Amino acid sequence: MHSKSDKKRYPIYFVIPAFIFYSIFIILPFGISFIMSFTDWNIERMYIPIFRGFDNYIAIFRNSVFIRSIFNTLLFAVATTILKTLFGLLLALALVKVSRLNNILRTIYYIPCALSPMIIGVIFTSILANDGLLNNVLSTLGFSAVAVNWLASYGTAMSSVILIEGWMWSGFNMFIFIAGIQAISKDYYESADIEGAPAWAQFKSITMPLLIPSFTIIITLNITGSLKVFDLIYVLTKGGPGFDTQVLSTFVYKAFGLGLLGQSSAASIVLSALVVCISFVLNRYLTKREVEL
Amino acid sequence: MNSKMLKKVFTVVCIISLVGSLAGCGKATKTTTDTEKTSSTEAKSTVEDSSSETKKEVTVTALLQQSRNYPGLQKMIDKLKADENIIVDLQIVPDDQYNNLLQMQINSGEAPDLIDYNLPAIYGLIDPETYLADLSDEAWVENLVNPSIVTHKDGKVYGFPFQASSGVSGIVYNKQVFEDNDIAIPTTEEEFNAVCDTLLAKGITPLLLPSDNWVPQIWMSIGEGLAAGSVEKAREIADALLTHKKEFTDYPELIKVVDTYLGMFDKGYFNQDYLTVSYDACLERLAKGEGAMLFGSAGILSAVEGAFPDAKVSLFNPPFDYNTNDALVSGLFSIGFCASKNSPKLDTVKRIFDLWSTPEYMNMWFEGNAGFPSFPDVDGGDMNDDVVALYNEYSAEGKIVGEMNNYLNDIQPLYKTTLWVYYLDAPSKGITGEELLATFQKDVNEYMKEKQVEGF
Repeated sequence: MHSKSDKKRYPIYFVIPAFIFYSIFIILPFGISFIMSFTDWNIERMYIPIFRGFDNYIAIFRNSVFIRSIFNTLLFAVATTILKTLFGLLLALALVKVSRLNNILRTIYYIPCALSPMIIGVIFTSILANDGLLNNVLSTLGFSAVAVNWLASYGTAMSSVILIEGWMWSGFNMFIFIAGIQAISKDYYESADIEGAPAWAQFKSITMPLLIPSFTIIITLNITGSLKVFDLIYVLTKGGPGFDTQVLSTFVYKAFGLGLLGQSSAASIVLSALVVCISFVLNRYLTKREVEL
Repeated sequence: MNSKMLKKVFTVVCIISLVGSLAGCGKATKTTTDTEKTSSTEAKSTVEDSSSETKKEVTVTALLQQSRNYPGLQKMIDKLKADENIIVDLQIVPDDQYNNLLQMQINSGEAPDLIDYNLPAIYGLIDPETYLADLSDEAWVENLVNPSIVTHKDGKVYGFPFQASSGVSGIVYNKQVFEDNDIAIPTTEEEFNAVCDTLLAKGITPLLLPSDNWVPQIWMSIGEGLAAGSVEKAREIADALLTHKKEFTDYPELIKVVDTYLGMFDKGYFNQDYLTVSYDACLERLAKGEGAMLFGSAGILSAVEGAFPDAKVSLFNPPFDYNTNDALVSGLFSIGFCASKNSPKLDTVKRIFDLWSTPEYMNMWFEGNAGFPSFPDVDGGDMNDDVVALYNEYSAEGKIVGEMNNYLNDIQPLYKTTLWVYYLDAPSKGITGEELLATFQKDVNEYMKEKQVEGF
């Protein structure tokens, strides 16, 4: 016979491996980074960092590239989340009905998010090059005037990166929305049909409110993922032209490249704080609006 | 076939394709590794069979930049394994991560036995006295063609060089384009501008510039060396800058170098897609005559000639007004290896250097990689005649100066992340030479302060 306290402890045993793993690889490095962000730790003084208070934070916030990186990160996160959510919802509404063609189309739309961002980046670097596929197509169609060097100026470079990210992840969101739509009971729509409610009213009053849990998942996942963007920016623009499309992750990478580990840690703490705060606030806001099915 | 069956078949095909492709990826790597292991084991056993009584297998570790993994070096390593039973365990690192990884390994006491680097530059990156083995008493040191390139300011030699020099730096040009358009090599800035105007009128891009910021920086590094005019003056400027007795903007000649480069954009001499086009694409344009000139060093000639055997390329000295002393820039650049001071295999490493200093080994390094060897009997391969003539002419007159970057080693980690980016960014933002250097000076001040350098 097992005692009551054994039964209470039993689930904890299952948590221990995950807790140890999470602590060693997430909590401990984060804690060390947090402490080191207040020191003059750099690659030449690996073992003798000296406490310097908020100097690193003051230094990065005085750096115009860092401020620009914060702006770009927020712009990227907001714009891509809107795009991915919107495209994902539209795709889900279009492909929610089960048919052979829809199954094939769902797979096609999902493929981009199964590819490595590095590969996507390399492909789009060629497509968006001055003499790349996009400009050739535009010229063939008689739109030479619109054909520009897409990655050579801030506006077009940032827009291109945002659109590519939106294209990549819409398929993923589509699946979450499809699952959400399929979970809505048909009874609601049948009642609405009997009442003579048009399709738009059904969408507005039934589908949308009951899809809020899906929105919560999608927006939270997309915002947190986009705030941490690195690979796509690094491959497509390398943060350029100049420092125009730098985001927080590329800034951290650059600081690390200079061997300024204290500053690099401070920048990553700012990034983490940003991700945690935004995710927390958003999650709280969206969860409150969720409707019980 | 009914639809259920069709679905099943489709699902099975998808799964097989997915698993196949994933396994393919894994297998490709594994196969390579296995092959390497097999060949390594085979080679090992062969050596052990033939000479195990006399030569015990020793493995040394080496850190190598990806771009320096030349076929010639691989041959030298293979020969070491076959003849001496010495295995060089190479850790190949992408160039842009090399400095960090090297410094991290050194500072954590895990330095490899062999360290690849541009030898004059490594003395600015790490403290040689603390971390590198003193090789001054090795027999091969006496045979060095240009010992000064590896001699630290304390008079000791801490590295084994392959090259006596990287050759000359200047403007690489397509000879065929010049001949076809009856263009002579310009000797003044005015003539240079006239050449560019002629080329522009004929639809040829006069100057090629890739998005890889190595090219604009070499333009400036050469220019600043020429503007300094002599080794002594270049060193004097560098010392003043690195001790903060002066700032970049205190030198009008340095500002002029940047302004001359920026002025070329205003005149439309550069390719318009310089912010996105790759370095390789620029080399191709140069070889095909779509572009006429590119700033760089003699090494580019062999790269172009290797990739495009029909291309006729050569190099001339930049004829800009700031080159008041009519000097020629030769990069204080010599690829080589250092030995870690605390390496437990230091004797083996020294033995490797002994062997590599012989023509039998070092000739391999220059196969397909022509250059100026650091030892007299080594065959450096077929160098471009114009380059050799240029080098001999200026060296006879004692008018050779190094690239300015060579004298400013201490701030080299800043180059790629800041200064070189400014060079590419400045033209589209209308930044002047003075503004650009003032911005960079701020970066230098912060960086040197962070490094706790006196004077900052």
